[in-house]
Amino acid sequence: MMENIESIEVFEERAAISGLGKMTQEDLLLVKQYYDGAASASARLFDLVTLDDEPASTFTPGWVNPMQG
Amino acid sequence: MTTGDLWPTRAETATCTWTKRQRKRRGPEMTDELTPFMTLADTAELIRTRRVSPVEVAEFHLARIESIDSSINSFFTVTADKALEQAREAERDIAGGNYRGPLHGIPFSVKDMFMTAGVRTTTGSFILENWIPEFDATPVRNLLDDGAVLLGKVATLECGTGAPDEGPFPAPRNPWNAEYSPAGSSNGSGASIGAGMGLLSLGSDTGGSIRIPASFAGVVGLRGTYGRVSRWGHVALSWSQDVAGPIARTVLDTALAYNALSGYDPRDPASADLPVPDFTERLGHGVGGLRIGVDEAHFFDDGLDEDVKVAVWAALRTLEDLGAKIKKIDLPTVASSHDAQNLIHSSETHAYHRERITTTPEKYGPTIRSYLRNGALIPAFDYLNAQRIRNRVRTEISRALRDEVDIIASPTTPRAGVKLTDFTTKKRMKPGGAHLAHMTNPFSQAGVPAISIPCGFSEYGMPMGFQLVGRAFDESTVFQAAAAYERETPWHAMHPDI
Repeated sequence: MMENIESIEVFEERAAISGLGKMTQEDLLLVKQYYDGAASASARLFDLVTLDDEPASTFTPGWVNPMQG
Repeated sequence: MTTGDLWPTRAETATCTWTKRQRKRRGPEMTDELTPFMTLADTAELIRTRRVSPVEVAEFHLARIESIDSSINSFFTVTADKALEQAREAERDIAGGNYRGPLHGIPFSVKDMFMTAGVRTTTGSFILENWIPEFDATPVRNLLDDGAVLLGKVATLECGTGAPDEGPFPAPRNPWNAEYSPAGSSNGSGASIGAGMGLLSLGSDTGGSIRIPASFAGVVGLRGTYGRVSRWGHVALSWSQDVAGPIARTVLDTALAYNALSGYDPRDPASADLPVPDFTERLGHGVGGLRIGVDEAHFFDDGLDEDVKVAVWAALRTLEDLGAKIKKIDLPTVASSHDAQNLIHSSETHAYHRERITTTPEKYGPTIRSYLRNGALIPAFDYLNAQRIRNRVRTEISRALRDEVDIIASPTTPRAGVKLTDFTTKKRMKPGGAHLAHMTNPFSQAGVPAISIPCGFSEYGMPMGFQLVGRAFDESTVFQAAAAYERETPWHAMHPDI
């Protein structure tokens, strides 16, 4: 589950570790808005997923088998 | 099969031949056989019976682009010389007895996410502003091989998901009301067809990018089964969901285009090596006995505008009157598809753009730049969790379509139209019931075919769309139901006063 990051300084550090380089404060805040939305989505999905759920395999014949499901 | 074998067209089947002299004398303004909102099928019949030439058709549409697109902004690049050259070639072929079929001589446009040989492919971004590929994307090549005539490249949101006005071009406007957006990301495809510029447009759909602009422009758009149409030569957005497909004026036009677009391509790893039927074959079959499923909890929830709700229920009643059985179904996990989409889309888009977003971020507009950067911050296990939930969405939809119903129906969008000033990526990405892709996302994730067809107008005069979804690789049933509805209703024949 994605971490909720409150501090903009911590967020900036995380962005740098991820290879995003130096950003303006304005850009950083925009990225954080997207990040916050993704973190909320991550939390909701984390509550939903079970050990029975397997990831969709998108590039196998199973994906394009009309009878699957 | 020719289009004349299907429904009556306005074109008579009288045979006559055009001559160069006749064509010169008439010119585009004097071609009284052609009207701006004529369908592809009707135009094809005029070409087949030689009542108009492909050159006349191309000149007519180029003249229309020239005269009205400055108020719509749907075209990034107009390829007038190339179009006329291709039209002359089509004219020569047809005169020589080599008529290739209903797309021969038909003018089309291409979303600027598809590569076109010798024609710049910008993806609506400064990042590729001057890129001129050396080859055509497979779906473009398929249309050209059938004799279609390329009018030019039409607008896309930046890289398929950014803002409409942060790249090198102005934001496209909705032909029904210039204060409204045609949405996206195939905004140029929807706006150009809605305005009668060209007869067919090639778009692409990741979470709803064909169906949403088709709905907002009052035209028809099909996202086919994942794997049916090659994406080779399409600049990727989210690999596991990207699909190429047509936007056109009617169901028949869309089916004719889909015939040309479909087929196996070994260069696309997701391409399905399966037989391709004639998608026009069952258009006249009606819906008697078809079971149509409706999940009220997700698709008719509180986020839905009243206008849309009324129009879509009216559409369902029309199908019921025609003999379909409307059945309630339950798809509990589709409510989570937007969350799954958020993580899958962001991660895959970042992976594709990783090199450029880390080395030349300044070349992207602020919206897409922030969105792409966010993708770097999503851990692998979150991406995989999202794919696990997506698999559940896919399984629920596939099971319903296997065991309970033949078609699933829903609105295409929760509301009719969105103002240009409200169409920012920030607002579009906001989770919740009012998200524009709320209705389309689940079927993108399931990989099943889904069509949007016009079903009325809102109280403020904007078109509304109705989505019909079928089993994987059963586009024929989707077309069949859509055509039955279209025959009974006037919406597809209405057009903006432009």
